[in-house]
Amino acid sequence: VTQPFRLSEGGAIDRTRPLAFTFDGRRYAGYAGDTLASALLANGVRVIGRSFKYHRPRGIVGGGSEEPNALVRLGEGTHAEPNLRATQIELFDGLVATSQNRWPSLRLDIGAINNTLSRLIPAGFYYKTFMWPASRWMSYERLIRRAAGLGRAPDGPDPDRYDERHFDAELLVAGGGPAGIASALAAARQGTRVLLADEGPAFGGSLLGAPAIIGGEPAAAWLAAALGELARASNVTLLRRATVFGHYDHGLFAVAEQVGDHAAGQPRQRFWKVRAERAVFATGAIERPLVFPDNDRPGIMLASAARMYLHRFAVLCGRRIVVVTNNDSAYDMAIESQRAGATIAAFVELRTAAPRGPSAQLAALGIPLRVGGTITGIEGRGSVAAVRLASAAGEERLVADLVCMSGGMTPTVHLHSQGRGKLRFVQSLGAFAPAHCMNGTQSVGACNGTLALEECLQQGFAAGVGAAPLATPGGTTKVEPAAATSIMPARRGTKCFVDFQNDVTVADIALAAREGYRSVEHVKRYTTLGMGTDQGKLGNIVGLTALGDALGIAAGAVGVTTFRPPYTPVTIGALVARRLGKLAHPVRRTALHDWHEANGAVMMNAGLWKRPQYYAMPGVSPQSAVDREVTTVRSSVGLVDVSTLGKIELCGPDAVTLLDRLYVNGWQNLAVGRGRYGVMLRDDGMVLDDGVTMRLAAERFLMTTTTLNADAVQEWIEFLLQTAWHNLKVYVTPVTEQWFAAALAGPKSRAVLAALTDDIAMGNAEFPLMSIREGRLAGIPARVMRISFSGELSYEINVPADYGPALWRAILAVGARYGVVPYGVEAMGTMRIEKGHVVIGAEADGRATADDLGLGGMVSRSKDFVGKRSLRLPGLTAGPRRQLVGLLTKDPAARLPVGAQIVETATRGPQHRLGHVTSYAYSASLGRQVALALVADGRARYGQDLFAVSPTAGISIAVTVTPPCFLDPEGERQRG
Amino acid sequence: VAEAPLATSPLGGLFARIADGLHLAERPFLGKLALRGDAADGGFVATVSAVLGCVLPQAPGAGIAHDQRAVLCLAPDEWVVVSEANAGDRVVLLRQALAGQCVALVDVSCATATVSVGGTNAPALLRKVCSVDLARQSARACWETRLGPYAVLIHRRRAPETFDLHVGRSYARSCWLWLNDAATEFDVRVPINGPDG
Repeated sequence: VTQPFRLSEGGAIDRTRPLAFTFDGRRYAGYAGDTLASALLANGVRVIGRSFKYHRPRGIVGGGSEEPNALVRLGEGTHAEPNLRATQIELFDGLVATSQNRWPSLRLDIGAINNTLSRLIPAGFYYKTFMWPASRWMSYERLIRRAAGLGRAPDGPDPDRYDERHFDAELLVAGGGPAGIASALAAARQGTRVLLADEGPAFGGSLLGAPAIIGGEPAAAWLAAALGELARASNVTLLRRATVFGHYDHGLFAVAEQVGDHAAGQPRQRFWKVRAERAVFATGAIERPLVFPDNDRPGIMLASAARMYLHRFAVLCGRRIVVVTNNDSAYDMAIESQRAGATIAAFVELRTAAPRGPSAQLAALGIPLRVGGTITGIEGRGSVAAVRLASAAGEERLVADLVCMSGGMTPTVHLHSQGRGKLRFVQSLGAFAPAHCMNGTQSVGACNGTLALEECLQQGFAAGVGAAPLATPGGTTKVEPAAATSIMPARRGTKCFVDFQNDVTVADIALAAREGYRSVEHVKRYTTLGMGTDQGKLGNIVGLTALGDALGIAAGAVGVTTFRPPYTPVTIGALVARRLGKLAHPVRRTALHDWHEANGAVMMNAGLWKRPQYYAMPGVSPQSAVDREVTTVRSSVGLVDVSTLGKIELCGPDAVTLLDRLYVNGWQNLAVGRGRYGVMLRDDGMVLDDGVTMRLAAERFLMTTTTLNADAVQEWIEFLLQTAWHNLKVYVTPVTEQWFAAALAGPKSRAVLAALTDDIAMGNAEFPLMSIREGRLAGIPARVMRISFSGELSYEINVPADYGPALWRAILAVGARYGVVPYGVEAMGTMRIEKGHVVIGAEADGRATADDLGLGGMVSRSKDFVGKRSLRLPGLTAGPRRQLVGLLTKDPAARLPVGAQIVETATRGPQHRLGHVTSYAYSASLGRQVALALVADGRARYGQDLFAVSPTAGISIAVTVTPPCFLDPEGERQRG
Repeated sequence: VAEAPLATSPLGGLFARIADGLHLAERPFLGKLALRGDAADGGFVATVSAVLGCVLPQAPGAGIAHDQRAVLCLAPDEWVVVSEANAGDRVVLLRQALAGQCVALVDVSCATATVSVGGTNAPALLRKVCSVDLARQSARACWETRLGPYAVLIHRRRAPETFDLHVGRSYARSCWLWLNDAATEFDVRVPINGPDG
């Protein structure tokens, strides 16, 4: 017999489709429709994993997402995924699963020594034992990490594809059990746009796990009809294998869908972001375990789970069963199991009286009933062998291979609670239920504390049509009394677990209480109660009861810990979806990107932009390539792509006023066709950005910004116009992307341009520095600005971006006779350092005023502008401020370390810091290193010898302070 | 367009056909005109309507298609005119007609790349990454929103399933790559001359 615990008939499995799978290397057989858990149970596999702290053997406890023990690693290699619940893994042919948290094997686990040593490792022992010395924590932590932890990460990057989707629903129904289906049906019939999601592979919820009657017929018939109707409705979207795991503000819900590990072309999982006008929570309830000595042994499981395995998978989890309960629900399970061929060795009723009807049924079947009994011990380590009972009938030892326990039902209130919904303790349930409805959400059915099927359906239908919610949710239901007797006395040498996954016992909670912990949140963190991957779905309420007992507080009065998303663990891959690698990082390309790459450009990042750093040449070092570019520009002509500079068009009668308020300098007298360099400040007086603004027409200006501040400056202007200055008549249009921009620089630039145009007069007088002309270059409509960043005679040419490559090629063709070269950001930077021009981000680092940068002369005294008021603050006027200077190394070849600090002496060791190097470059023009720096009272130090040091690199270099401009300080070249 | 041989569109005319009702294609060399002005000014509205030959839509998100031209209202004082032909001539006409008024007229034809997304799966493709439920906002013609990491102007050119995406020119290739990747689940074919990203 290959599946010894499988019944010969029944269950929602397809016996014509046998499936082979392996667990820990052993081959087993199951059927289509099985979960890994049901197939393992059918094969009589009891030990599935080892526990977290004590490494005790553990088996399957539950039947769904609440499972704390049966965590396995699914798949192999890079496809492997750890910590998956065997109860939710659908069996497929060739499935490979491995147990976790054991070494070297599941049977022989060295870590199990922790169980023997458990008296030495009580609750909070990490905090107690590894406190001193604090410096050793890092090494302790590494050891602890290896010993503890759950599962093991996959062996490499995840090769699977994950994707995402947005969805808007008028009604989201979370949970496809009877109440949820009823809600969806009612809403669908009204024409509501419904999304119904269930975490399982089939809709039906509790109807799948137990026989039921709806409307006088078997529930299966009702279910099939309802699902057929929903599937045909065009306004209904049905999502299976989809867990609504998060409830956020404004009706946003997060859903993780297992699309299927096998569907071709489809992602493995899909992350749904659902915006719902209304939501119905029909998430059901989870049975609570009972607490008794060694209640974690494999073969001890929830009665509801055993019942579900029996009906849905035709698996009888044991042959001699002891059932123990404090409520009515387990009676049916016992009766059905006995009828299916098992022997109920004893039915232990923890309450002092058994319900009359069910107990009569037990008697009729010859099932021994032990009212007021208790379990005093379990024999067997890897699997239950016998149960010790104490009752009015005396002490008994019963041979058994399965213990089914039922401690009452805990409503699954997670989604309600995640949305900040309040809970109330329902005495008859012994658990919390929603206290109200909120924000268009409503809980129905078992998650509302309603356990009777008829009432679940009624609530579901009512909620689906948006009927006013019941004043007291669940209040009309007659719930079975669940006595407080869920915790049985411990015996010396045994452990009574409340949280299986994190190995938290009643004794741990009692210890925490004795040590002074009162708040449930503190006890949770101290004992790790409910902190496993199952987030205490089974153990929380039991743990709170144990805490109440220890503190002498009524159950329910101790409160409940906060529920936070996700309801079940979500693969990071699903949350990331396709934001991976290249897709995660949008790249901005200029119109000339392909040309740059085809011509040897080494590209660098400037924000999201890709820009040529320099153009590599075979056999030439990067520095030599840059030197050649600089030398060619200084001696003849070069061309650089400056499309990334920000461009903003300002239109309107108040454009001049706007410029006056934005920039430190004045704009009233700027003539049409002329431009001006401007500096703008933040409101704290520090330099925000700089650039040239040209007057295109009386009421039209073209502002340029730095590359990195293009968006920020435009947003800043819009912000000011929409809030502070809404009366200004001016419109702001960002046009960075509209234009391809190239700067043609060098003494031959005028000659090159003159050869390309016949409608722009290029003479020095007709086209002076800081002016703009519109015309055609090589037949292309262009704006040409005469401005200079390099210090050379220079023109910036803007053409509509579609024409960028054509313009570039035309310039190179005409410039060939002058040996024109394309140059990159590196050469551009070298030339501006030679000229002492500041760059936003390097010299203007957010702490520099215009005066610090040597631009104080631009600051107008006669008008107001953003940041002006701050310039009068003492911090910006009194005391030494760091000012822009140049630095020359004593040794012309000495290279300054990046970020070097400026100090007064060469002595090693701490000394007062005067400033730092902001930029440096090798100047081929000067044949030496040159640098810019911000130095305290720098302008008073010209000629002074200081030291640039890097304490980390152990470098100290003698430097001389100079004015910041190293080349052509009179600016003759650019005016030439 | 006489100058077309000189011009290079952001995506070089890329297109991709995806089985099962989804195709992506660049729409190169469209004319695009950014227009700002005071909608409460009857003279302004009348002048613009006369030059464009259609009523200026007033509600943000509204759009009017007329004579190979779409006028989209982006904000109470902001419009974009998308036309098959070069926008330059329209700028000149409008500028003449609106001379002396407080308006902004800027040719932004090259500032964005335009990708047409069409086919029965087009709405589903956009819905993967767009938080706006386009299908339910049937009165709108355009949206300024985000598609994943990209700021886009979505123009529903023909309901229900032909959309133009206007995305910043410099982002065009990244966005194209990204759209093609997003289309994988609809059975994308490798684009005929796809960029390397």
